[in-house]
Amino acid sequence: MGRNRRPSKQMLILLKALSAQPQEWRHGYDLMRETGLLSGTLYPLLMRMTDQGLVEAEWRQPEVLGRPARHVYRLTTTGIAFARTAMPDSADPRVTVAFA
Amino acid sequence: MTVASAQAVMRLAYHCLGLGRSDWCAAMQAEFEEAVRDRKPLTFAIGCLFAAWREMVTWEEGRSVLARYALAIGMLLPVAALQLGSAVGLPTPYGVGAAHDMLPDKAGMNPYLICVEASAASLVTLLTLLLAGAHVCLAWTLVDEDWSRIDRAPFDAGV
Repeated sequence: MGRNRRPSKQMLILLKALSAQPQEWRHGYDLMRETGLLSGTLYPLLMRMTDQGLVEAEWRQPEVLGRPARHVYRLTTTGIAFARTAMPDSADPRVTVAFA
Repeated sequence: MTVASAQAVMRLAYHCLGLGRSDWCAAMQAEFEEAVRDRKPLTFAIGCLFAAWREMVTWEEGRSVLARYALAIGMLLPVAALQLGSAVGLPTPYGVGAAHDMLPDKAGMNPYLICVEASAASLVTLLTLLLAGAHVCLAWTLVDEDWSRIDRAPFDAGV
């Protein structure tokens, strides 16, 4: 349903961040820092994109003992393809995209 | 203090999000520690609460809960406050309360009815207070939720 609609500006920002290095797993807070999106915007987006199969998420054990396990995210193959079509300025989503 | 408030908001977000999204609750909770280190716990927690509310809208039970809270907080409690103000003689948007107007010093322009009004004033005040209390009780009944039932709702709905 959502994938047929034009992606929102926030979704494009998130796609840009995730597609900069698509193979790399990213933490939610790091994505917030990089994109400037607030948690109230980022998490619904991540949930929706995960439901749509654009983003995959998994748990990672903490690097520092005593800290909780954290969720990490990256684009799926479908997500990378979607990023390519959603961001026509970029032939390859791994290349930094300039937004107007 | 800020961290404690933020934790309370995170707990509320956790309850709003429910078991259907328990993974996401845990994910937000894990990132909350990062937000504390970044000294932005409250901003993060409020964002998570908004995220939870946005998610609630996507399933029927969640929409029902949000509507009940909106009705209780947006309508019943303000009406109760107006009635309470009216009973104790505080100025309200529609003037000073009717019961307060019936007190003898306010009824000077109507000498024939002073006794009747004065005797009725306490009863009207009591009724207005009861009405205010009833609105508060009604609001409480509306929002007095079984959170565990709400938590299960996304599972029951197959989300």
